[in-house]
Parts: sequence; structure tokens; C-alpha cells
Amino acid sequence: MKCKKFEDLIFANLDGQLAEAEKAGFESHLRACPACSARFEEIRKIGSLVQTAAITVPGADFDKSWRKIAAALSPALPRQIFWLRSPRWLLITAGFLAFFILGVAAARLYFFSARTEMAAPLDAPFMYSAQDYFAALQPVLTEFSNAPGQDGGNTIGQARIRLLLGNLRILRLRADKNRDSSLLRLLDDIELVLLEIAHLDRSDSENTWLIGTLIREKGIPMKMKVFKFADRKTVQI
Amino acid sequence: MNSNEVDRVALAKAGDRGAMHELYERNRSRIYSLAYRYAGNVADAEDILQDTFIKAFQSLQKCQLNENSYFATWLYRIAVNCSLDHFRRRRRHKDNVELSENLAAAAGNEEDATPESEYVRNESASQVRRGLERLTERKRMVVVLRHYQQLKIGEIAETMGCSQGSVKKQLFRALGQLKKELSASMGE
Repeated sequence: MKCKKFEDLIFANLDGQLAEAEKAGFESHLRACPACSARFEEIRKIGSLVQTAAITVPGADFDKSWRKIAAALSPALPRQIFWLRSPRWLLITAGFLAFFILGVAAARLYFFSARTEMAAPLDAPFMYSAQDYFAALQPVLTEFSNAPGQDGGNTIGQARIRLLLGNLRILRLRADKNRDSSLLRLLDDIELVLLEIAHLDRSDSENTWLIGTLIREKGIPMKMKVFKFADRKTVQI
Repeated sequence: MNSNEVDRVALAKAGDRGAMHELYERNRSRIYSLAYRYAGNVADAEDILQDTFIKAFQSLQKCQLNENSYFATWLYRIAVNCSLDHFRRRRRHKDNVELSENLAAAAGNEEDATPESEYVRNESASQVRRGLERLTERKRMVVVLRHYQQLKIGEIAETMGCSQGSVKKQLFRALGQLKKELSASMGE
């Protein structure tokens, strides 16, 4: 057995998961190789030391936690029922919505050409819509997602990350005002990734790889596509 | 997954609050124990517990479970992500010192009224916990899952959504870093 294979089997051996033949090979290498023997002993020793530091878990107020969970899951039911019950309010709401939709459509028609000219997010100090913002963010995500094990962070400047973070906060204020909870969640995830990049330790390429993992875990590119498809936030300010 | 659990999950998907509460009752201790061992204090552990169940119930529609998959495993994965997110945000927005104080305080609580030999043991336990606090979120999570939640390498990989090789690599690095810090603090 080679040292690499031995190292690969250390945890399986500690868990008692090795087959007879593998166990025999493992033990024979353990006796023959002083370096691996020392490494194994070190892992075993530090593992049991960590185990002795196990914290006794104190009690928690599970009922209080459940009440908070239930409250977070509850929609504003009474208010919804009131609005549905009252035909007058229903008419007012429908009228307001129709006025709003027409207003947005007119504004989009009026500003369309101007918006196209303004969509130069990387040169502009401010990104005017979620779409422009996502367009500026996309190259950053692509760089970190598609370069596992490489230090892709070298080509992304700190100034650009700061600009993206600043604009994200403005977008968040707007999403908060619009009570757009799904956009808020997406912006939270994006902020998390940008903060990780901003504080990236570039001496270790594993950190870059971890940021790629985080982007994939959160499914940010896919969520951004959904927003782009839905064309939800293109209102000018 | 047994048929009772399948039924509960199906009812919860349909919005049945009673079924959700039952799923919460069955799984809360396990999730809280992971959260507490990772966070080291009750307030953060309760936050993580709440975040986990809120996220789980909100995304229950996406959860495809059958006889071979378990609600508890799916929930555990969410809890791990919530714990990592909680501390990523906290690390960026607050001072790290506060985190170290939490675990040191947790260690201090267990030192009350112990004989001298116990005191020495607890002293090294506090040092281990301080060392754990200095690890990155993912490395700390790997150590907590392995040594406190007693998960096997394959289970950790499944929970954290990465390969077994990656788990082993992070565990080796984490234990190596802990060893260095403990050697330094014990003056070896």
C-alpha cells in the first residue's frame, strides 16, 4: 500500500469501515512506514482531544422558537380576507393596479431608448435596474464559478466589488420598499458572495474554489435568469 | 422514510400547520444540538433552528422525498447551510472577538465545581474550542459534524454537498491547524 492510499483510508479505519483485506494492508503499512504511523497517531490523538471538548447542549425554549417559525410562515391572513370581502376595496385596488400598470408601460415606452444607452453598468457609477445590475455581476460570478482551483480573483478588482456592493444596497432598499421578498433573498445571497470575494485570502486557491461552490450552492445564476425572464424590475429612477 | 413521515411531509406541503408542528417536534433537538455545537451559544443556536425550519417549510414544495430518502437528512442539509450563512454574515458584519467569547463562556460554564483533574481537562477543552473558533466556517462545520455529531465521512459529504475527498482534505487541514494552535497555546 502506498502512503497516498493509506491517508485516504485513515478515517474509514477509525470508523471501523475497512474490509478485512484493506484492514490488513492498512496495518501492515502502519508498521512499515514511520511517517504514516506518526501521521495516523497525530490524527487519532487530536481527534480524541477535540472529542473531549464536546459541549453539553443546554435546553432551549422550543415553544418560543415554534411561535416565531409559525409567525414567519403566516401570511397576513385577516387583512387578505378583509380586502377580498369588501367589493369597494376590490374595485379601488383593481383601479389602482390598472393605473400603475399603464403608468409603468408608458414610462418604459418613453424611456426605452434612454435606458439602452444607460446600460453600461461597468462604467457607470450607478446601475439603474436589477437587470443592469445582474449584467454587471454576471462576469464576476462566471469568473469564480468556472475556474475551480485557480485564483480567478486576480482579474476582479476590489473597486468593482465595492461598486457592486454599494449598488446592491440601493437595489435592496428599493426591493424592500416594493416588498419583493424573493428579490430581497436573492440580493442577500449575492451580498454574501460579494463579501466573501471582498475578504478573499488570495494566497490560497482553495478559497477561490469555495466561492465557486457557494455561488453554485445558492443557485444565484439560475435565480438571476428567472428574474431576467420575468423582467420584473426595470423601472427607472 | 416510513409511511407516517411521508404522510406528514405531504400534509405539510399542503400547508397543514399540525403536520408542520409534528415535523418540528420530531427534528428540533437534533437540529438544535448541531446549531449549538457549531455556534456555542443559545441565542445563535435558536436563530439557526428557526431559520432552518422557516427555510425548510418555505421550500417544502421543492423537496422530493421517497422511501429511500429522509426528511431528516434533507433538513440537516438546510441546517448546515443556515449555520454557515449565519456565521458568514456575522463574521462580515460583527467583530470576531464576540464569537470567541461565546465559546470560551460555554467552556467556562462547564468548569463550575469540578475537581482539579477535571479543571485541567476543561482547560484543554476550552483551548480546543478557542481553536475551533479560529477555523473557517466550513472547516469548523466539518469538525463539528465529524467529532460532535458523529457523522461518517460519506454522510458529511452528502450533508455538505461536496465530495468525500474534499471532506477528508478539509478535515486533515482543520485538525492540522488545531494541532498547531494547541501546541502553541500549551507551549509544546
